[in-house]
Amino acid sequence: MNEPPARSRANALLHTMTGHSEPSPPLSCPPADLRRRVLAAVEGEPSRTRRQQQVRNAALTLFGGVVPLVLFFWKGGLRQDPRPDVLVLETAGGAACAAFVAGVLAFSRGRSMLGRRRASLLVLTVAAPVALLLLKIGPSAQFPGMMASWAERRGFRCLWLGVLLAPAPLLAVLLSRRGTSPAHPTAAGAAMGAAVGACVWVLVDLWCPVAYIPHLFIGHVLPVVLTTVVGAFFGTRILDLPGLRRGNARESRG
Amino acid sequence: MERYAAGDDLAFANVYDAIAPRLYTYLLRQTRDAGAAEDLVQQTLLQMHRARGSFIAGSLVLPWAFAIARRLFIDRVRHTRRELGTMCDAEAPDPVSTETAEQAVEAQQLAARLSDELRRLPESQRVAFELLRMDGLSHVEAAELLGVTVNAVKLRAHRAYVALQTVVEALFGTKSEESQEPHAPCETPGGLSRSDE
Repeated sequence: MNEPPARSRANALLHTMTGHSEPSPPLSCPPADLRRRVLAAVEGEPSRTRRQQQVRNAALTLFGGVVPLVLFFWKGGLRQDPRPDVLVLETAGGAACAAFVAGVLAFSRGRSMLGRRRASLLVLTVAAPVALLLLKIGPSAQFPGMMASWAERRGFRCLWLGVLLAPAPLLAVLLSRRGTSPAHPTAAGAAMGAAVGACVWVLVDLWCPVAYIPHLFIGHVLPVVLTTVVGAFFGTRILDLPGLRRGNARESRG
Repeated sequence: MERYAAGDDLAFANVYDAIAPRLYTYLLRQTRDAGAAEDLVQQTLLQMHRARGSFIAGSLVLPWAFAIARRLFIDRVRHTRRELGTMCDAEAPDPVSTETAEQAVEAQQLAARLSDELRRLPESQRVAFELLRMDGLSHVEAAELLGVTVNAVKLRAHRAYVALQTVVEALFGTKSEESQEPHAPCETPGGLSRSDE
């Protein structure tokens, strides 16, 4: 080969950089004592096994499910009047389906330890309240008078109920996923907040017969938005790796 | 990792042996500091240890480990305000170590050019290129780590390769040999990719 030496080296360097000239990239061996140090550190810090984690998550799920139900019934439970049965079934059933889908997508990580992609989580975060609103307005519009204005029900009581019901399940899901989202904790927290907001929407929908659109925005959509914001805020702090110095929790996925 | 998550404490040594060299190489290149790299490897493995109960059976271990390492590295950089380096000259392979001083200088200059070019690339391309070609992740692993599709990873790495190739061509005026197939799959031999490893 009469290739100029410099060019030959350039090719060699480029191909070494790109891995084309080697079966695998060269690895630097960590110092021998690092292994000993790491194993000693791990031995000195007990961690939960999968079984223990499952038990803990089950307890948190129970807490997150029971507390809002107790509060819901304490505040009066189902209030159907003046809605017909079928309308209650349609709106609450539709919302329950949407909440179920949102919950499955937001609370689980699929088959990846890094969770779902950020774009998917953001779509879920935005789509959840929109879908819930449409699932409320659509069936209600089919029944005369169901979307009429209620002067005395601006939505603040529903807002208060939503704010009352949301913290326990939100805390439960965030704690059950603590430290498991190194890539995008804020997006994961926001999606969890939206999913919890969707679950809370179902209870608020059972409790509130009003489908007047301004009321819906204040009393039904706003709690979902608030839980989303709170989920994003605490997601950054709870879902991210433990022990990081605060104030710099920007998402690290490239 | 699967055995470790299930409660077999002794399996962690195997996890260490499989992952630590990859992590150390990656972090050494990022930090340019052996002490910092060791510290980050230790922190990464401790984070994995803490989260073992939440390990998903069948999931890829390496993207998770790299995501934790990357997160810890960024955390460290932000607090120490050190400039983030992507190419470590000291760590760059030296194909001319036995040649003359003139050739060595020439090679160093070329390496610097390529490093500069790599730094100038869009971050998405640079990161994809580094993960595939320098850290030895497979396309699937890199895609999972970056949260994009496998095709997107291939495309980004290909664009980075083409940009670097252009530098070489500009320097020597002709198309380099062996440059026709930058798109070939780059599966990592011996990589820890499955949870049962």
